Amino acid sequence: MKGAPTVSNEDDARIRRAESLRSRHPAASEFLEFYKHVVSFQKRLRANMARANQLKSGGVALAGLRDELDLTVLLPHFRGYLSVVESHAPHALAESARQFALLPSESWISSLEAYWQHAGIYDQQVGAFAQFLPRAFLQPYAESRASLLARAPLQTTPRLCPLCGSRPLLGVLRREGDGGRRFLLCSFCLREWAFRRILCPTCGEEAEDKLPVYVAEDTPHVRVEACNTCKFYLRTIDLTRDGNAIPLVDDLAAVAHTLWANEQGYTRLQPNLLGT
Amino acid sequence: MSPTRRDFLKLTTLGGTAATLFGFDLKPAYAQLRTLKIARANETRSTCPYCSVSCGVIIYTIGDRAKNVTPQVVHVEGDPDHPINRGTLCPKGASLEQDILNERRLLKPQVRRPGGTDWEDISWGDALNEIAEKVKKTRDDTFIEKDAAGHTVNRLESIAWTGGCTDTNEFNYLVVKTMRSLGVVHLENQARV
Repeated sequence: MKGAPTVSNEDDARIRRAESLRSRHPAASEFLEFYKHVVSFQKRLRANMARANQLKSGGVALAGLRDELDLTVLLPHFRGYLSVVESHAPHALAESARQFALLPSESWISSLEAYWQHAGIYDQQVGAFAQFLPRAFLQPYAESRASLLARAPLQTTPRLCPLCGSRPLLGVLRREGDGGRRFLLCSFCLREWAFRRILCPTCGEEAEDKLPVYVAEDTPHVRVEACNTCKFYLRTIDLTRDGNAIPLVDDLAAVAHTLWANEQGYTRLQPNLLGT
Repeated sequence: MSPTRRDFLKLTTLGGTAATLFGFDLKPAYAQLRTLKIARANETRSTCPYCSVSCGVIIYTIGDRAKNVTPQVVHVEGDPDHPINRGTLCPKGASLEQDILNERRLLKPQVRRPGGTDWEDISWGDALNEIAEKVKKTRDDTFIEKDAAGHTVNRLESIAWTGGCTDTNEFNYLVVKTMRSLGVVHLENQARV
């Protein structure tokens, strides 16, 4: 069994991209600055998880992504994570982290386990703070678990993540031939899977005139792919227009796009980590 | 007294945008929102008309779908979901947008007279009349009613028709009906898409 890959290079790339976008998108500056601290923590957590995995001899074949949450690896880092949030988040979020830190560890465990089971599926009923705190903390673990799972070729185009069943966070257009192939990015384990173009991932609408794509002049790689039937939208990062974009980060910089889409009466299929 | 987990969940189960609840300042984003120039595009699947391979394409048109606005084609790209071309296009297909939007596209009939070197404009009425006269004269002069063995053949071998690759099915249907009624046997098109 291969160990979880060290993906600190990806974390570094995310931090660099956040820094680069921060200067270009002052409106998202506060979001990106905080995100940098979150990713820096995730990078450290990932390194610790990789070390812990190396210490474990052998390993167990995974049946499903949500089968097991190894809190022996994660829990020792949770207080440190809460203190990162408390130090760098805006006031309300920092306060929630401070309050959460006062809870007994049994509460932490039950929150993390509940979120692990329901992330990306039933988490819209959970409050914003109760969602953010476990989400950012468990994301590196979910990513590493996803990397251990075998991926069977897809015969269909599922609208939920084929590995963990979560809703997609983003669409990603990657160059294929003389066009762009659409992939959906899982909101929980960050895996991508191919998904047909001109098809609503929420309600399955296929009528071309009901699926408008909105693009702002100064950010042509950020698309709002809306559906006029269900009034949901998927944000898609078009890598054929900007090959330097990192979908997870560029999404956070598009705060104004979220406000614009809300004004038009569209709801995002799955908000990002920072709630936009 | 320390809050319980239930208190925490009660505190946090609030409606509204999460970013606002977290305490992020959305004023700069609202200011940026007023300056955003957002265009609406529609993506339409279609088939490249150039050859019989039938590659899939996606055509982008912009316009707000208002009744007095004609949608404008802004981009054509290969359809990555199409089983034939998987997003790829040949150079002709890749330039398909220029087939739709082209300043050099002829908008009126022109004629080049025998021995002439320049094209001259001609009205649709005159062009159709001249073509009809020449077709009738050629057919009257060269129509073959019976072959050498005396069999009735009713054919016209002095006129041929070659259809272009961008001709539609409907156009090709009319061409075949018209040419067959004249007796034309040398007839070809690209109606395979």
